Amino acid sequence: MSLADASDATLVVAIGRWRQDALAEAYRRHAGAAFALARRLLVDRQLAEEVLQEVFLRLWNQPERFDPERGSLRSFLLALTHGRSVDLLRSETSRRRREEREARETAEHGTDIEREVIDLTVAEQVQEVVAGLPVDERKAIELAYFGGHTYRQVAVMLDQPEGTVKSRIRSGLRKMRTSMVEAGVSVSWAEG
Amino acid sequence: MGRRLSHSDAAELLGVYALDALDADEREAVESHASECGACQAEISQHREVAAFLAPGWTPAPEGLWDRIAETLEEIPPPLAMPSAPSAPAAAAPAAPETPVAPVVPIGSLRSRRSRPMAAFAAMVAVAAVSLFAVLGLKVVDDNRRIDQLKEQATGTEFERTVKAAMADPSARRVNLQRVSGVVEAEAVVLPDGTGYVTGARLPELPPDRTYQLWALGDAEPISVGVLGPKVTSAGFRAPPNAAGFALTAEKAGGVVASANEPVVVGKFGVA
Repeated sequence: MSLADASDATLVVAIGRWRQDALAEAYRRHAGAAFALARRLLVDRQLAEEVLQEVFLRLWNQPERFDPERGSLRSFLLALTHGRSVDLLRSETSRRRREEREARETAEHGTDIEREVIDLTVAEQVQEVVAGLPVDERKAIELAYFGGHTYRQVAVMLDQPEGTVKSRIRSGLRKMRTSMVEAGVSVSWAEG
Repeated sequence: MGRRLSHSDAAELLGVYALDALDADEREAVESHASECGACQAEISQHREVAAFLAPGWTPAPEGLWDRIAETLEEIPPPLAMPSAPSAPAAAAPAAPETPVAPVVPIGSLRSRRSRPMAAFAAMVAVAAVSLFAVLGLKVVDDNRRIDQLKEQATGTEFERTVKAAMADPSARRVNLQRVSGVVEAEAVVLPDGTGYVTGARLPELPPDRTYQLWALGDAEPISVGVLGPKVTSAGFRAPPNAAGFALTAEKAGGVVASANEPVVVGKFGVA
């Protein structure tokens, strides 16, 4: 069996044994998704590349952090990518860049986060799931996930109580999961 | 130490935690709680899996980035070499025999392509000229901890399937490992990409403070390719390209840098 045919879980075992070709295969499978997310959040290509490099080095150095019983390798890598990107986003340098970008976007066509999210989601079914969320929940999730804002910041932006925002985000994520499972969208950790 | 959260307080924050939408202090508090709460860990994973579907598809990764990553890998000292693992030699644990994947010395793995230590090793092997199990100067990297920390993703059916497929693969090279008496007690197989598997259910179980160690035989010195634990069922390893056969020795738990023991079983490719 070649590595190209190996499951993600098997790849991570091989990575745990210092097999660089296994890391290369994981990179081949998932780097594009991680890079797309990093670029979406950071915009700056160089910063996104740095994040991508860091994410795969973390997989190399700490493969035991990935638990296949708790989710897919892709969601694990995307969570790492998101977390690191948000850290950078909240740093001063990138905040300045982001503010400049947002000012430019607003000047050019206005910001339409909802539309952007819906356009960017990978599958029609997922789009439907996102679209099916109550507007308040969807907005809160979008601002947190794509904007890199804390829920306290989101509360200010939406002029809602903090407690309401955190509840809506949790509730929205739960509804999405239920809807995806019902719609047959493969959720790797789903019951069964 | 940060503040401690009750389960219900932590649970309310799990969604925003999974989206990295917490301040540092709250994040720490959630992590502290979740580290001891399986339910919260599970919910965080579920939220993250959902969030992954929101991610914006695919963008080709930058050209050349993989090469930069690969170069960095070789500069990173293996974390296992650091003496920071008070958590006990796993090889001595009774559970070790269950592990289907052997702790393998990365000799012969692709990381050796540009690795200076590996080149030095190759040179060392070339100049050495002593008998089969004479004292070696090989550096054995103890990656037991790394392996033991991994969940056994490839356990059970998946791993067994993999081994069976390898054993049945017509492109694989197989070798019976036998005692001096000729009794075959183990079998090794190497796929064209160098991935190897060894099975040895007929080998007697060793005491907990002993382990089987697998060696690749070549033109020069045997190369350690895996410390298998006191009972061998099946295990994976990485075979050096020039492996002409394999041998199993019985060693002290954790394995040895060089073996002075006679092999328990041995076999060479192409020798009946």
